[in-house]
Amino acid sequence: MGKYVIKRLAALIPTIFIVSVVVFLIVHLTPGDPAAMMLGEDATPADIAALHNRLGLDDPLIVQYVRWAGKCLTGDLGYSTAVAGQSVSGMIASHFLPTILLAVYSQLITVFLALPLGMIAARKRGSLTDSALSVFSMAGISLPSFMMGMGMVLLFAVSFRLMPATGYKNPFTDGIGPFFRYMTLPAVSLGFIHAAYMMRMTKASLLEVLSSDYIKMARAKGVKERKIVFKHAFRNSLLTVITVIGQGFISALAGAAVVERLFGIPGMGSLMVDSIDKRDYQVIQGITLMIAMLNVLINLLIDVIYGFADPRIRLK
Amino acid sequence: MNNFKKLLSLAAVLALLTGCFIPALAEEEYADVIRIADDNQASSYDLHKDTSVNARNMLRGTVMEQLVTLKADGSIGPELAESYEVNENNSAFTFHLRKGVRFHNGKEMTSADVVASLNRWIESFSTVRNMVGDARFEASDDYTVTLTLNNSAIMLLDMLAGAAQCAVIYPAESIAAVNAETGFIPADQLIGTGPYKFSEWAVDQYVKLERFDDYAPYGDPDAELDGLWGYKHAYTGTLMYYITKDADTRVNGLLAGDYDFAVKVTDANLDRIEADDQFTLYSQQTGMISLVWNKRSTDKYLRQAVQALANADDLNIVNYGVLYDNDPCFMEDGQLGWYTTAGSEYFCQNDPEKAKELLAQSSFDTSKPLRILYVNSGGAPAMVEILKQELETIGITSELIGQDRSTMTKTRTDDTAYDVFFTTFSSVPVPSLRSFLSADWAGWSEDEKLQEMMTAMTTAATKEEAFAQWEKIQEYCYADYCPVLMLGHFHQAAACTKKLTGYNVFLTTNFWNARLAK
Repeated sequence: MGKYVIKRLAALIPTIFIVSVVVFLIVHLTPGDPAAMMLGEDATPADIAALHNRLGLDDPLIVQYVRWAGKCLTGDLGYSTAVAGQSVSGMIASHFLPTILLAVYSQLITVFLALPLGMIAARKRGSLTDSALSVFSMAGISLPSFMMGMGMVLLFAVSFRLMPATGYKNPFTDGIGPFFRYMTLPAVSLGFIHAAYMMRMTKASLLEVLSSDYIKMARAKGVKERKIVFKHAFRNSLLTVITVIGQGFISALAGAAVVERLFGIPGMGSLMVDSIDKRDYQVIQGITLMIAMLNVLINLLIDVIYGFADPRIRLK
Repeated sequence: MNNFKKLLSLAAVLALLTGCFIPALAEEEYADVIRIADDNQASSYDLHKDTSVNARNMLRGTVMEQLVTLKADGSIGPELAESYEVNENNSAFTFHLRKGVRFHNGKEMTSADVVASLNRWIESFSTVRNMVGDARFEASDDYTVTLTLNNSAIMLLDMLAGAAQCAVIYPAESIAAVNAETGFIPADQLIGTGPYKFSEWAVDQYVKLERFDDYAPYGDPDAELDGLWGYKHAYTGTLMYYITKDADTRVNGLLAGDYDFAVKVTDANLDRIEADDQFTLYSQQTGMISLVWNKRSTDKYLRQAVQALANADDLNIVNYGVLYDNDPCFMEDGQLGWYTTAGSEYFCQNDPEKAKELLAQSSFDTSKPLRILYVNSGGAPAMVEILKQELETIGITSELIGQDRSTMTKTRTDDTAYDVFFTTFSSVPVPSLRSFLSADWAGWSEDEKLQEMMTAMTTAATKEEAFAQWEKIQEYCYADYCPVLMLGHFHQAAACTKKLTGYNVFLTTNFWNARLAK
């Protein structure tokens, strides 16, 4: 397992190199000018040209790439051109926390909602409960997160004033209570769609396992249904569920932009959208590199968890 | 006697209650924080470099002050200056500074700070450099600064007082602390003399301004503010500007009680606020709406034809709803010193027959499309679609080139890429700063007559002469040259809880004397 992990981590190097070249080229070949965006609507061509020169944007692309990549290797991701004096690593750090907390919280909601409901739907297949849960999951899958969020804001924040409509509180500096107060609506908005999807996957996976021969044997031996579901079937259906959780987590990270904007959360999605809008090259490149690394690491983590869930995979 | 003692005791208790508790209760009637939902953050908040509306609306007059500032009638009032003198031909300026004015770092403001600040201001803006040439501010003594030019600069005072390229005064130490790589003053050195200190900037979250207890106010404490000029009380301890980029979220936050004030309320949200009697809604002209012609690819007859054809209401309503005026002036209605309706008879005439006649005189090849460049977000796509339909009625086909803002900002500098582009312009203090009148800005108003008129305006001997010249320029632009298709002015609406009082609305909303009832 150790060797496997090291091998997968080593594979990060070519992945990051390729991602860095691709993102650098895409960002720099996309029309637009960070200097013009920095100086505003009324900037004169002379002012823009002077800033171009100062930022090194007139150098050949290869020179700019080598300069950037060289700095990255020393841990210096450069400085934002859209927000003066802010290092890219500092901005990523400050924006990563809200996003990761939102993703984790939304995934917790997803798991705690989807697994039990998926199991109930599987056990009561064909019943009224199963039909009701199917409607629930279809509604969840069909409802975009922004619409869900807007509906909840209008209901819980504007009409009843039970929750804040917007804002973010850091759990480490502002306290855990305010954090949950501000983050619950966004997390539910983001998690609901994944919960619906995961519920269906849990149900399908569990039904498949429940119809296998060894379950029939257990039933024939008189093993209690509860034990069959929780001890024998559920663990074997976990592989699919773990994959869905992993995908859900990555999509929560990637799809947080809309929810972040809707709830005024200063997260990575929001930062990425703004950076693209302002052609903040260094920040776009830094975030993309980080997301690429995160994807590889999450997939690695899922593979490792597979091994714990199913020893056969570990042996292979 | 006992009764007398009891009475005395009671009187003493009452006196205590009256003297201590009642004022205390009165003080507690107002909140110590006003929460403002701002629509974006600035790139630096360094007002010598950052001309964004967010930076200047938040800081000018609040954190940093200027030597002079604008009064409601467009005249100039001294702010950090005690008084000022200008010679007869507007080429020599002398400012006598107020004494005892302290920066937020505790240091007293002197001429060294003013000279360092204003010379950086000159270096920062090419429009100012063009006006003053090689001349720079100099200190005559600790409390007097001068600027002596080779030419008349009738608009210099307006620019020093204006809100677009803010001539704010920093301590010399802040100027020395400029980051060599970015060219901006670091956030921890954003120090001024205003009633609030720049306390904290949590990127993408909020900006916190805290009351400066040693602020040196000017003007009459019992009088209302006159424009941006007058006594600043700073009743409220903290002004929190929350960066809330989504317009619906700002309004939701206001209605839910998360914010006390929300900027840039969109037309779609007006009904929601008007329906709730706990909130106040208002709007003011904030900038002009226009299509800027590429004068290198179009002739004046084509431009006049489109001006004769356009229906401003049809175009504006799809983007701004009710938040616009069909106001022909190239300056905003609040800028009384420069407001004119000269040439207004040519403003969007909605006259297809006249348009056809003018088009017949044009060299424009109607077998080719008119290339219209615009930002493909917000209401601009709907506006250009309407324009496209209007143009078809006189036989002009259009090619709509929609791009994101950054790409469009780059494309518009290429004179072969488009014929006209849609944009809006924020307020400027003097007409010479209207970039579409410049020969080297996108669209290229290289017309010799126009540039001669512009020079005559900026070098006029008196303000009256400059204004007369400005009226001629606007008339000429409408009647003949047509550098832009002027569509009117957009409004920015803002909303706040009715518990908020005392805020000042002039060019923007200022919270110097605002109070929020608990």
